[in-house]
Amino acid sequence: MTNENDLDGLLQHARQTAHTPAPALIERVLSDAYALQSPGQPVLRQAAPSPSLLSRLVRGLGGALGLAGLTTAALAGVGIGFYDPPALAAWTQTLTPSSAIDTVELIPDLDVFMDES
Amino acid sequence: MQMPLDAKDDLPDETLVARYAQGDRSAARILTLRLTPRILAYATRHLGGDRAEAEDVTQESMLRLWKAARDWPQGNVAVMPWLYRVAGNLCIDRLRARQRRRATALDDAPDLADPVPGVEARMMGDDRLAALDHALSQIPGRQRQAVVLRHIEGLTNPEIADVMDIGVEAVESLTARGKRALAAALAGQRGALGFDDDEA
Repeated sequence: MTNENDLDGLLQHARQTAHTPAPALIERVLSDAYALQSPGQPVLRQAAPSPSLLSRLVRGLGGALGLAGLTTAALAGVGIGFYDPPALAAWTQTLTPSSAIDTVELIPDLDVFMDES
Repeated sequence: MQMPLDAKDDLPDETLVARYAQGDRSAARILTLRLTPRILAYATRHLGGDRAEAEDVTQESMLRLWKAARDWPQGNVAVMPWLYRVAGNLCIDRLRARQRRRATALDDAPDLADPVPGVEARMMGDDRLAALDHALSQIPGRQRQAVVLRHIEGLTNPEIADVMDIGVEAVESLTARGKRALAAALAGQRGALGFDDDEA
């Protein structure tokens, strides 16, 4: 065959000729398809599992960053409590005066008014 | 919501694959009826007319489609070129296995590819198609793949480039050389194929 038109015609003929699959092949292909599929269920795409209590708690605190900040603050508080640095001593003493208040007179008695009069 | 089957017939392959992954059995049926004949035709020609092997390749290709459906990248990958690529690779594997068998065991000759035109095509009375299949089996595999995809399956050059994972220029070169090789393989058969009669 040297005529290009003949070859093109032959290829066109092949293009128009259907290869009808045997029914058995269709059945085999469909059988595979159904075996990998459950009706009405997206079986091949698993639903995401619900988050655990811990992960919800972490998310509530602002995620990993929030949890890290909270942990750092807690550890710093514990450290300060244990070591009581001298630089803070003067400040903490103002919060706890050495002179204790022994009695507080919530209802003054009559003598007070008598003295003023 | 269930759609009538004939309405789904118009849906693109990619949509049907997504519906299949969601459990829609009718999508599986439509895809099977739509795609199986095309892959079977492609594999049959790629394998030099060996229908039994082509059916195995077709089933394996479709099986890979079902398995890939769950993670199908919607909007990015067209189904048909993807299937052609899978089927083409499977055919190449089988052709290589044939060559290994041919090289190592001449006693297995009856199991090898039938060098004469396919019996089925002869029974159909279409010697021209049988001769074409035989001639296709005589040309290099990459050229055969390009010629079949371009001139029989009707893909565009960019689509073929995607299937064969090569550039468009390489596709053009392969199809041109493939057609010349095909014409050479069919040379001398004009009379036998009845082309002389057509001109008379």
